[in-house]
Amino acid sequence: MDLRFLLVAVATGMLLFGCGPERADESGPTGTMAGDTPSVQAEAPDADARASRARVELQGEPEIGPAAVLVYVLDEGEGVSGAEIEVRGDMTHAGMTPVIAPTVEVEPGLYQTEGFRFTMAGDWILTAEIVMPDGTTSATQAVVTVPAD
Amino acid sequence: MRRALSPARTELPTYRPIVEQPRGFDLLRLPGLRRFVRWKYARLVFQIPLLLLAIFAIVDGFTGRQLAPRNVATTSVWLHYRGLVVIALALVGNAFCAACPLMLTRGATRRIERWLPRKFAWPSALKSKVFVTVLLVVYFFAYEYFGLWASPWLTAWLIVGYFGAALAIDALFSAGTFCRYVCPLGNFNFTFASASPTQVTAVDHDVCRSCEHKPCLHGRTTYDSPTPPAGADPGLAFIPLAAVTRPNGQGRFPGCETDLFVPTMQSNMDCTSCFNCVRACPYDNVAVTVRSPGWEWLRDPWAKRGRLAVVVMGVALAWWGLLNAVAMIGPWFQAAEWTALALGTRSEALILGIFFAATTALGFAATLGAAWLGDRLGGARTGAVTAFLRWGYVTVALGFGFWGAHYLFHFLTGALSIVPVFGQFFASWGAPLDPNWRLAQFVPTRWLFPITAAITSAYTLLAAYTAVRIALRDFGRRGAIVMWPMLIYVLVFGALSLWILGQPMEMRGTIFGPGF
Repeated sequence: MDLRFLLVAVATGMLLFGCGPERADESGPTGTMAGDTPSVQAEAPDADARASRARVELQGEPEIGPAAVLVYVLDEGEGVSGAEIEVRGDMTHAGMTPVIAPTVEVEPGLYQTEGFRFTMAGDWILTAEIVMPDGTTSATQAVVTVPAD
Repeated sequence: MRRALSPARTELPTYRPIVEQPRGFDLLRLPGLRRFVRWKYARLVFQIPLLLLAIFAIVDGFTGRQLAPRNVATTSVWLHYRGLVVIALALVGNAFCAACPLMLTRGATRRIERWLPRKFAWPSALKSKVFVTVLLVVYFFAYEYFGLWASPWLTAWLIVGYFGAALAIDALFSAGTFCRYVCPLGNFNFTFASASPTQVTAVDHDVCRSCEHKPCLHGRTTYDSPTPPAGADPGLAFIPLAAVTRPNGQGRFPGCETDLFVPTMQSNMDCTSCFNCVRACPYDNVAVTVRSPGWEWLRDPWAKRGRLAVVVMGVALAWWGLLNAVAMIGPWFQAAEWTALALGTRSEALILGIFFAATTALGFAATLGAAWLGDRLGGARTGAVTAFLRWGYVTVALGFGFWGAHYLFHFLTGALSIVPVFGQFFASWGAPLDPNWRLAQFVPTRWLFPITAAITSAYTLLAAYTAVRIALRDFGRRGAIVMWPMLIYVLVFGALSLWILGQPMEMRGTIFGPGF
């Protein structure tokens, strides 16, 4: 009985030590104002075969109030038309009200938010949740620091 | 020849309290509640859900999305635990210690104890709240420096560390050592449970006087036999089932693990609301009595539970509450930049250390100054320590008002986000769920400042009332003058609290910039 308890404790400890935080290239923010992160494929049956990339960035200088967030979606170098994209802005503290805004397609591969606004100063993580025309989903992030007024 | 007592003196009073205790309504008289609380496994009903929550938090913290608003660890700990703990303290009592899942490590503790030669004695030097106060400042510093609030991974490690610490300490030392002398969360709860509207008391103090074994403190074993059966814990008093008023089962009923003796309790300090005393009392003579908030601030109850160290902890917590909130507004970052320029450093640890030291020093200086001045105005030629002990409770009242307002702000801002957070957690494990991330706020944004300002103001008024009552209690009519230094201090603290609450938030990862 005691040996089994010890083995479970050791195994649990190894598991915990082995679980680290997400690496930046998986889905974490990159620390730049406009991030150019590889897309995180949530569901992509043949993702390895496709060179799809997405990028989210802020248009203009970050400030409290309305903001235009741009999302670029490319597939093998060509802009993707017809994607459904929602941009969500989170702060680094749990519980701060997120800002969620839909996007409209400005031109093939370029989407812009409608109604997005930074509600306070501080560090923001912008996440673009992308649903491609073929139904596959992905996400990309960027980080922004909004200065106080 | 002995004189006969006069008729008026032959009747003794039917109730003589050992110490003054609240005399309000006994909550255990509510239908079914006494029976439930005296049930041996009552505490498990609350501990198991919190244990499950802790497991979810640990799993998601280690394996889930490393984004604080979207992770069970950061959401449940920094938002829901903190918000609900102050709500519970204000409305009921120390509910979270009552439901503490850390105590479920007792099973593992007993296994470890078999490998140890004996239980060790907790060092006398650490048997004061000084050690806990040091742990508290380490905790608050780490919170800011490592950005615990923004890191699901670190939050998960914090939870694991807590369970590990409780396991280790309760294995090495007597039960209750972790709660009373180590746990920062518990001691935060103990301090601000001084504002709670309930307290454990004795129903009839004469019953306590005539009680031989004091099982509320030492525990008992009870079996349906006139003598203890083989295997019964020899360290506990045996009370046969037939001798128990309203029997609540057989077996082992531990007493208070933080050494509280029910008929002498005048505060909630060190009371974990475990209700071991309610279950252990063979006469069913323990009540959970309703009292006015701050009842204990007027009675210097901490004199019996560590006196100076306890009051120091209470005052420190109040001012660290201001610091914790200031760290989320613009002036904090401006002050950090200015300080960094002045010192020619970009060391966040150094800047944070300076801010912590300055806030602590300012807090104690202000409290001591107002207290000492009040005593001098009253003609008391006692020292600063005596003054601090007399008036320190006023700062505790202010502290609870601000912590309550601050934690409630965050809770009301995002309480509903726990729904999509759990939705995402289960979706990541294959459940067909689509989290609705629009669920977050509990109340409209425009309600937040009025609510938090009202809470802070209410406890500021309570602090002022406490100062007035202390002044009149200890200085009589001269108290009308004595109260003023403390009242001015209360007003300044209250104004500072309102100013902080009214500032626009600016959540940054580090003191100098983004936390990425």
